Amino acid sequence: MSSDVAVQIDRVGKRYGRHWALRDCTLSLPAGRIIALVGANGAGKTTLLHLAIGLMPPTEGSVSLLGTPLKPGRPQTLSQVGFVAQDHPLYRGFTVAEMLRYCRKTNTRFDQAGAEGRLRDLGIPLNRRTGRLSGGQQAQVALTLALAKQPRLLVLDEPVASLDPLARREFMKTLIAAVAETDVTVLLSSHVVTELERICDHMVLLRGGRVRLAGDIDDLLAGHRVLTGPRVDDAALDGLVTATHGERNSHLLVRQPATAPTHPRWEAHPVNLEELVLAYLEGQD
Amino acid sequence: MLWVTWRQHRAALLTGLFLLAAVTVPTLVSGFAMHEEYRAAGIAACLTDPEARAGCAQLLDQFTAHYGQWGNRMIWVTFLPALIGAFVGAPLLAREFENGTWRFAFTQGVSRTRWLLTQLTVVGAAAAVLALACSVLFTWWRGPLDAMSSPMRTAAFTVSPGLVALTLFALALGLFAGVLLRRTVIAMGLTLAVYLTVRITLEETLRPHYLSPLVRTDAQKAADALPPTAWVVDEGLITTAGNRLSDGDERKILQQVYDGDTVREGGAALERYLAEHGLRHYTEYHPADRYPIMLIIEIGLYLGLAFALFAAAAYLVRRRTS
Repeated sequence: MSSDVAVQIDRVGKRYGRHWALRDCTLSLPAGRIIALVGANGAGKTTLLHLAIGLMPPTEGSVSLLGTPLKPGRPQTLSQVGFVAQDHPLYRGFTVAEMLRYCRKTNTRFDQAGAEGRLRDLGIPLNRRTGRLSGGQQAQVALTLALAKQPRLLVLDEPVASLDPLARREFMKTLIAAVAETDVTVLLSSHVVTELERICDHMVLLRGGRVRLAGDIDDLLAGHRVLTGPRVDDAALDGLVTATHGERNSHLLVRQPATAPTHPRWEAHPVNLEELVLAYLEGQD
Repeated sequence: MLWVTWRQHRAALLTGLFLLAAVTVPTLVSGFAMHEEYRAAGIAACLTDPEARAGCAQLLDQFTAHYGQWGNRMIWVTFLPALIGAFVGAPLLAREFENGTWRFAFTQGVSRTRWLLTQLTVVGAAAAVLALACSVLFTWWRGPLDAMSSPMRTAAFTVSPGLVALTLFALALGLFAGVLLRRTVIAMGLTLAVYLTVRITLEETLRPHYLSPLVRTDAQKAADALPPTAWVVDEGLITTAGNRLSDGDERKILQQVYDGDTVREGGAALERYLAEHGLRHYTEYHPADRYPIMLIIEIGLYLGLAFALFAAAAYLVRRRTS
């Protein structure tokens, strides 16, 4: 199962007017994994997510979802995808129960009992209007609705960006518990790297509308290291990602396997995810 | 989807029903009184018998004075389509885009086309039924007045079944403005502005020319030359050569005949002047029996506009990505 591809993105580009939000993007997102989509604001994360679920068509290239080419807006596709949009929009005048009913009426599959159970465990009353719930509770309701569709792909766009740290942790806890015993593929965008490290096992990094890094997090960490040594201002090494210079020392983040031989002037250290992400986010074009 | 649509618009639907009930009661009360008076006073007989007409003048005047004022108030129903367009049509899509809920609605297992068609059908049918109920009620009420004057005058046209087409046009306009602008308040404003512009232009400029008006010329100004149910769209003076006088020339003649003073002696001096100079009166009018065809043309125009706007809105909804 894990060798299957959930979303295949082929040379995809998306243009808004004259501006390319996403360009020349080729990705295979493995099925059954929790995939982090990382990038600065405006890097094209939301665009990529919307393309991946067919909320809009790409300007060029093609997307296939769960093995079939994606045609935007097709109900068969939409009912296989759970989507929690940025700021988890809900109808503010609807009660929680009415939101459940909305989803039940518009989807072929809907796990009403499971959704009610989850909301009860979270202490969210069904008869409360969604506009009167806290931000964290709204996010939980949006997640519950997406999960109740029993999707094969669950996509979350900055699900915790607007939440306080406590609500953030609660949300992630619900998410992990919900997907643990299923083979659902989760694709979530975020810029809270520490959260991602705990739950994600695959990562895609965008900068300036292009994919700069993609792969299993373990492989990515094993494939990079930090070299420390006396200061050099014009280091030209194979696979150099970024160089930071102290007064006497230089720290180079390089794309090299741990086993690669190094010049004796450098001392090699393993890299952590946060260093790796920051290095690629800062990288030059 | 049906339940979803009902849930999203039930407040508007209930408000519509409440408004309808609120105007039905006084309209029925005054309508029954008017119909009774019309029958009891024998006005119908006055109208059918030209001989009796002169003797009826006072009776007719009294009746018109009493109920005409009431009837003019019905002009408020022209606001019904505007209300539905601005408060139901415009927010229907604008609110989804403004609050971001379109990303929720369009990622459920229902295609955008079906989503929009269901909303359109339910809301459109409700608006049409409401408009039809109003038009039937007010057309019935106006019955006696329309027998006494042209049914094609503004108030009559407005409360006709044309109200249904006008309402659908306003609704489609609101939908289109909503998906185009994606801001509820701005879309409501644009809907009102365009609705009023289109309606006033159509009413003032186009409606008299749906069919070419008939023309008649009279040597003498004869008040009862045309039946009162004809719709006079233009009148003025015409030379023997068939040239119509401009408004300026007409004013000059009046100035000359009455020397800047008010018109005296029922205009006898003017008639003498016209006869001496070979000028005659002309009247452009639509006879009352043209009412149905004029109405059908107007309904066709509004339904055509409504359909085009619905189609444009559907096209934009399918394409919208932000």
